[in-house]
Amino acid sequence: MKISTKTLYDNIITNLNRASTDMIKANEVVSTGKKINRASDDPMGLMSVLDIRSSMANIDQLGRNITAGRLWITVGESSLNQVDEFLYQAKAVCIDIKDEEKTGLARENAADAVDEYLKQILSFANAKVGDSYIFAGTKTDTKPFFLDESDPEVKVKYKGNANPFSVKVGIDTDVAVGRNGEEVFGVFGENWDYDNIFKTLIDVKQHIMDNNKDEIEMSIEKIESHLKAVRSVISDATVKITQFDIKEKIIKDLDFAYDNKRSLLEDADINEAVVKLKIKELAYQSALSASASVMDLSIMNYL
Amino acid sequence: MSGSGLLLSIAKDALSAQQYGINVTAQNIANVDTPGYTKQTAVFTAKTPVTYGGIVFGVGVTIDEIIQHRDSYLEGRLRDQKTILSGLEEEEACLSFLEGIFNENSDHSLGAQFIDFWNVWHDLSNNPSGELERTMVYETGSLLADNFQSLDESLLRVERDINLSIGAGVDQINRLTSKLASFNQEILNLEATGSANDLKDQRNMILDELSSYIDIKCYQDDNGNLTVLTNGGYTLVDKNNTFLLYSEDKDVMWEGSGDSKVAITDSIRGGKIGSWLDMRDEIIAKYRKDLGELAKSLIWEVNQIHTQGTGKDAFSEVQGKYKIDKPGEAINPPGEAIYPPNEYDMSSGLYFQDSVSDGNFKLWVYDSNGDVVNLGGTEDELVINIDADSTTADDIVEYINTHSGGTINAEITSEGYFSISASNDDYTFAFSEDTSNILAALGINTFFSGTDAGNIEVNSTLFSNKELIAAGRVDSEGNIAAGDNSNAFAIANLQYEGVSVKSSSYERGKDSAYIDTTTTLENYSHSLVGLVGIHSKSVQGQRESNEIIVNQLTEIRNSVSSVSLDEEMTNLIKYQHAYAAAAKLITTADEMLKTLLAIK
Repeated sequence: MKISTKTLYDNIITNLNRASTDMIKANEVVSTGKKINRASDDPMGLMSVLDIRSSMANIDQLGRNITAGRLWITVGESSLNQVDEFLYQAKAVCIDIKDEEKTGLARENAADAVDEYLKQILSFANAKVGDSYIFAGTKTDTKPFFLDESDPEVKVKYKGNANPFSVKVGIDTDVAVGRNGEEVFGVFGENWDYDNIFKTLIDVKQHIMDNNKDEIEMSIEKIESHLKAVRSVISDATVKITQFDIKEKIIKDLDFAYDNKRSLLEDADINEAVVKLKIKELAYQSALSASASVMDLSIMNYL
Repeated sequence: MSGSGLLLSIAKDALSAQQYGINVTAQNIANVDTPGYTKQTAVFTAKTPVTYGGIVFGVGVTIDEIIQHRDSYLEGRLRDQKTILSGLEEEEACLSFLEGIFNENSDHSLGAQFIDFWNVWHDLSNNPSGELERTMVYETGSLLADNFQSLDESLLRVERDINLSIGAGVDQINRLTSKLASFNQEILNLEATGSANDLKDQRNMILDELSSYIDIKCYQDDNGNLTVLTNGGYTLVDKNNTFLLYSEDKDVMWEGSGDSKVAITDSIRGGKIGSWLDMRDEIIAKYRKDLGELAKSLIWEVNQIHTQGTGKDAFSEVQGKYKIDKPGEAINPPGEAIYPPNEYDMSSGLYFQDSVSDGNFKLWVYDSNGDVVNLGGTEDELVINIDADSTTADDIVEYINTHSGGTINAEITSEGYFSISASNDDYTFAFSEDTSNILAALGINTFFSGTDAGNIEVNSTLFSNKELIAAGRVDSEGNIAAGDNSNAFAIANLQYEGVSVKSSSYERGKDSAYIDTTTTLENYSHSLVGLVGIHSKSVQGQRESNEIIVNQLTEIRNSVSSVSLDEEMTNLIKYQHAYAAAAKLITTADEMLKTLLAIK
């Protein structure tokens, strides 16, 4: 076939364009560090990358939810440890009073001590995380336990509700991190004959003043059952912390696995990309030098 | 005739013929790089010999014609391929622009904002009473809605730009066809006396340019007239007559003789105009529609859950966001509803009316202490029953007004929106357990308002009071708890749930078709982006392979029709030598004559 002058030059231009386009593409991969720089580079890959990105963002969020929940559990747990401590102290005072004959003054002191424990327990029962009360169910903006000793009928009221505050730690998993106050501190009601920590302690105070040993004996049993309830909640909290630890570890592993997969799809193998760029550079250079020598050839040189 | 007289005559013819040859060569060399130029060759013919004294004498050379090295069939094929190529190039440019619009490698992409949107609901669930969390939910929702709107706006702008291009393209076609018609005339005039080679080259160039805009059919008659038709058979150029095109609304119109006008839009399949039409009516139309369907599903799914919940505050007044055209008609009567309804349509005209089903919702009223008010029934709350194919919006208004003990008033506003307000400042109200979807359809207690990507917004009611973002739910006793995050959980769960989203397909000249897909909202947005990439990649591939075909055909065409300098230089030398030799003939004849004259 006859090669016209135009064909010769057109071919040179086409080939140089192709070589330089390839080189620019290779250069883009090296300079961005990514294989997929626009959707058309690898549409299917991009779709997978987007799915992975949203899964990763989601498990990161679940991780943050766990962090939020952990704060509730730990603050709750340490408050309950204090409650446990004060209840134990109150029990010790009762045993002391019951076992030995005390003077009026000593009993008064003992009653004062119980009163102090009551106030402390009350303040821990109203523990907060940020602005939210832990032991108020979902009525987190309402102070759950309110002491009014002047009220002849009901001295402590529970103003929370029965649904514990929970956080979302998995697609189908909500974990209760707050508490229904009644679960921990006993039953509260419209009248004052329900069994709860505050009633027990307020009664104990009176029994100590009255030196009513039988009632004190009964109260010790009640305090023990309260202790049992508090301790079971504490151990539940410990279990939950362990659950959170496991969840967090799983999230970390998942995150790592997802990131690996994302990187495989999206990130360029830099060594490979640089070598590829070098090859394209070389190809471009060869095309340039070959073109230059072809362009030099003409019958004019020999006439 | 014989002797030196004949020799001189042959030499003279030879001189002028070789000179002609040199001139044609010079023309070829001069036009080596002229686009569309076709190589010309002078055709040398030996003159008719004469018989003299029983012997036949050759009497020299003559130039019969100057021919063009043209392969019309090849040029036709090349033109067709170039029509395809110029269309693909436009398509590629447009798709790569779309890729930019749907760029996912940024924090402001749709995918990234979907992620943020779900995450803020998680954050709100971690602290349902937090002001910051509520503001973040509102702001992130707004950003997501803005993103939908700006994507829609960008697609709309591409569509408008394409319309402008089509208008300009049609003008260009008219300019080119007018030129072709006048070339037809000039060529006809010139061919009467000689050959119009260079004019034909120019006419071919115009034809090439025309075919880059629109797919055409053309043929040449014996007189050299070129007739050009559109793909659909409408004449554009006939002899020196031109039939013009113009664009009207979304159509390309052909103006025949007299007043006849025909829309030829659907028969245009190639060239720039063809691919602009493809882009506008198939690709952009699909992406806009799909984006709209995604927005619609997002709006509905989020709203449907949001209406089940309650904010930290109850409402003192609330207005629906979806217009009720006919408050006196059933909300969702049987049969398929038309939106917007015409005057004969017997339905309420609510945009989401099809999603309303039989069921009920509860309405709770609170006094100034936040305690539930008994509205006079056995239960505290008001239960409003919806029978989708008979209950009307007016029925709901009437039921609420007669059963709420004067605490709240419902009405349909003069603009056609459902509205409830407390009768005085003491009362507030909240909704729960809507099994009929009527609240979401009315746009009451919703998170989003709007119907598609172009008008999606966060409900303006939430702008003024972010406490109304429904993180919690009214419990069975009517209580609202600040730390209740059950509704926020439900909305966050939406990210894992497959929902029904329509996916459209458009083909020019046919009705659009839909298929229902069940997918998570995010997945749908990912496949939308992926689809842009797949489209773009496939067009890139087609363009590349078409370019190779065009290059190969061009090479073949050039080997026939284009100038090779080496060849021309060789010819030049050939003609030059022949010229010198012819001159030598004259000298020889001269000497012969001199010799004769010297005889005494």
